[in-house]
Amino acid sequence: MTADPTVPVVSRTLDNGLRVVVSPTPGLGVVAVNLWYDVGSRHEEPHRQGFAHLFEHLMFQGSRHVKPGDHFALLQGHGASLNATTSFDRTNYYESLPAGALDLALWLEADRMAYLDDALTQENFDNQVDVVAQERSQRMDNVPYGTVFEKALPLIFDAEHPYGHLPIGNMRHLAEATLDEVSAFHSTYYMPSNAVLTIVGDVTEFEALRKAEQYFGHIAPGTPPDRSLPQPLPPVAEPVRLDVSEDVPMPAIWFALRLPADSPTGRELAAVGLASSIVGEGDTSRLHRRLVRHDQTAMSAGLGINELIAGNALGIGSVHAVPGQGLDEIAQVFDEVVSQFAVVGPTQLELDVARAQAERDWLDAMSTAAGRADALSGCALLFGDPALLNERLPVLQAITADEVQSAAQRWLTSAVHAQVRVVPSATGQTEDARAVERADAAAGPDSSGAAI
Amino acid sequence: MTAQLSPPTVRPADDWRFPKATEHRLTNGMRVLAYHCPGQFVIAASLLFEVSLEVERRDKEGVAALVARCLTQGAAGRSAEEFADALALCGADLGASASHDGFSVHLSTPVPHLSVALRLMADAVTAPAFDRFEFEHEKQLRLQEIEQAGAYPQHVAGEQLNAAFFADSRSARPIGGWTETVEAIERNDVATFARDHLQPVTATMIIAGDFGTVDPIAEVGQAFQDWRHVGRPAPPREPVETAVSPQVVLVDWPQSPQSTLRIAGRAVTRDDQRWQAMFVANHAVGGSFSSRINSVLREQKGVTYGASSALETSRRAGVFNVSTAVRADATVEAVRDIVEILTAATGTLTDDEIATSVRAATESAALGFERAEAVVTRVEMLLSQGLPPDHVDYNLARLRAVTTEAANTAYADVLRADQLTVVVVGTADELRKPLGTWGYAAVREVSPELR
Repeated sequence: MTADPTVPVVSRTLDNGLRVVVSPTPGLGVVAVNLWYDVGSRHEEPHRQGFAHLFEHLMFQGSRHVKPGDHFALLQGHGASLNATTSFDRTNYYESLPAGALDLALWLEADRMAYLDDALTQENFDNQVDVVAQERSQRMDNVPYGTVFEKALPLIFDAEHPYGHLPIGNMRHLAEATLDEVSAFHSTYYMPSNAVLTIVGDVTEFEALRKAEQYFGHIAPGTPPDRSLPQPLPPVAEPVRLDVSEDVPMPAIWFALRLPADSPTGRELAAVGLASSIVGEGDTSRLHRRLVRHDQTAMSAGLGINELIAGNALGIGSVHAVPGQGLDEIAQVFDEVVSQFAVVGPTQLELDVARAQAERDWLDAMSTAAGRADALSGCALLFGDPALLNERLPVLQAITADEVQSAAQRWLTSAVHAQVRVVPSATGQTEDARAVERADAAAGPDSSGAAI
Repeated sequence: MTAQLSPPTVRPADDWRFPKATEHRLTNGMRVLAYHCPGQFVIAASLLFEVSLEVERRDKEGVAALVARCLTQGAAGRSAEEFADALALCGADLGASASHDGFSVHLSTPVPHLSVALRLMADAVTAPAFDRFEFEHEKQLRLQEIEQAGAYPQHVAGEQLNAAFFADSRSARPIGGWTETVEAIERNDVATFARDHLQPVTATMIIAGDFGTVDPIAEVGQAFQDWRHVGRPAPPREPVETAVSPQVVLVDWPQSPQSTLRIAGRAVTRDDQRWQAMFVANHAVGGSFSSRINSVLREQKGVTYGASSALETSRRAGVFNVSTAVRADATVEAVRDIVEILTAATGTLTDDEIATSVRAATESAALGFERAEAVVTRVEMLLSQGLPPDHVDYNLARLRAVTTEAANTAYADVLRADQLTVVVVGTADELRKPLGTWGYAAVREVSPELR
């Protein structure tokens, strides 16, 4: 009765620099293709926030041998599921398909990696600028609390910092962008040596590597961009807070924190992750039990981490207040719960629960070819070794109570929070944001990723 | 080596089949269906009870959904927190939900913890505490949730569509009830509902995953075999009435940057002979990224992030439902475009569209059921809609046989583009007049809150 979640991994680098990762699952009937490009919103020019994501949309508008719209039409027409997402650190293109359609997927991906320019037109560029604006409206501007995360980021990262804005970006910046910039972006970031191709599922190692060479081997390597990362930042020196009044049903607070960057072993961030899970994940967590169950001042309370690599990772928490409850008291209790945890550390039960939860999350993530492919691409692109995937869970399981407590002390306590407080506006309209500490909270995009 | 100039050939998908069930009936009457899914180390299980929401009293609607919330808040001598800890130690999730066609309790847990997690599931179902404090707390959370949900335009659009489309049947009203009905629910109502309607003779356990050497039937048997209970027989179900006259419903959402749209018409249930042909037709019209609706609204006009249609079913009603959110100043044009596309689709679905849609619908099967949870969810849906668990293979065979003629006939027969219900959630002052000028139906303005 053992669940063996070890993921087989083979990897090879083609002559043009494309890193190819293969993980066969014989008999599955399904194959997943996953490309991570080493470009995300953190690589954007300050006056082009959102460009990486807009570019991702244009990758579906055809390439030299593929007509606009055909990428989706051909793949969906063979039963595939596909999409792409743009995050802070990377852009990800993926498709899951019947094993017999693998060649089609690889051909389509290779054509747009090599020859996107040929198909770019002002018309489809303008169209996708419009579509992205509607994406932003639907996900953020026409949704209660939809822009709070965006407002929180500049409180902990300066505007020039790679994580100072969200991937969805600034619609004014995108409206000012030109077609030439799309070509330039493609030649700067989209090349074999700046990407990882992962193939998982019902294909042999030999066939997968042969097909990768067949479809991608001819593409010129290009010159990969500078991959240096910014220096890590310590936790913010003093609490920062922004109060806003918006058309929302209930008062709420968002908390944003600088965390240690993810790394090949990821041990420090993993310890922070366990700490935040104990404090803020699910109905066994300390925040839930105190604010939602005991005090009954909140409808929900949570804290989670966003694994990032450029100097720092990011912590985000939120509490939705019960109507009539004051945010001062809730913020105070939030601090109290986190500080108390940092003082006493986790109980054995809490540690066991957090480990069981992490194991389950891992098994869930590994339960599809697409999930395995995405995780392998991530380890290969961000940490240089796809085989590190199989180390992630053991590292996490080996973390001690002391490490969890230390992580909480350094990274989670009240002194290092930035807060955005949102209260319902009397008029039902969004009023001007009023910065209590720093003045400029503006511009940025969606949660952590934006799909096409 | 150079680039290949045209798409490579695609080898047809292997003849995929839905996993075969191992079936068993416990001595208390509970049916068990187990599906072995290799590589799925998180086991998914669902205990489905045959009970319709029509058993709820009209002035206490939402009681089933409140039972679902309370069921996991302590059981068999464990307090809510002890119960949550025990589940969490298994890495397990346990929850319950009510729908118009059934009540179900869902479990997922890594296979090494299956025995313990199944016993906890059995405790919740057979010996729920329904503690007074927990009941009051869950009720308050539900009331707050109703208030919160009313601020989301997508949610409001969906509720207003149901209200307009389903006339006076239970389906017209929210599964979880609304403020007045939830406020009226007492702890005893919750306990009574559970006692009367959660009984082994109307229950089916659907469980799937990579069991390895574990015998799932034996595990389920050990957890549930001592459960002896007879509740009330399920009452007969009433027919569901749906709107047949065109309607335009306008919900005011002042100064919103987008309008949220739902456009729906009567369709067919899954047991209808036209289901498969209609499914394929829907794929071409609005059910995929490359569909007619998305191609016009997103890829040509850029007024939306996405527009799609779906066939939604319950046991006794089928709905064809288009949903999207569009740039505010393009609202009326988008609504007209959608209705025109639906009208123009009659008799015009092409061989190419239908062949592509048939392939898309059938070759995606292995992918769609890769996860154990997907297998369980599908069987649960089929049983709750009165279909046999092996319906997936039957449905796939019929989907493969759909011709262009059959798709066109079914679409023309089923979808009446002149009898749609149109719901627009947007700035009423801007939309009232042009929607009226359009002349599809009289514009009825309603408040965002359902009453």
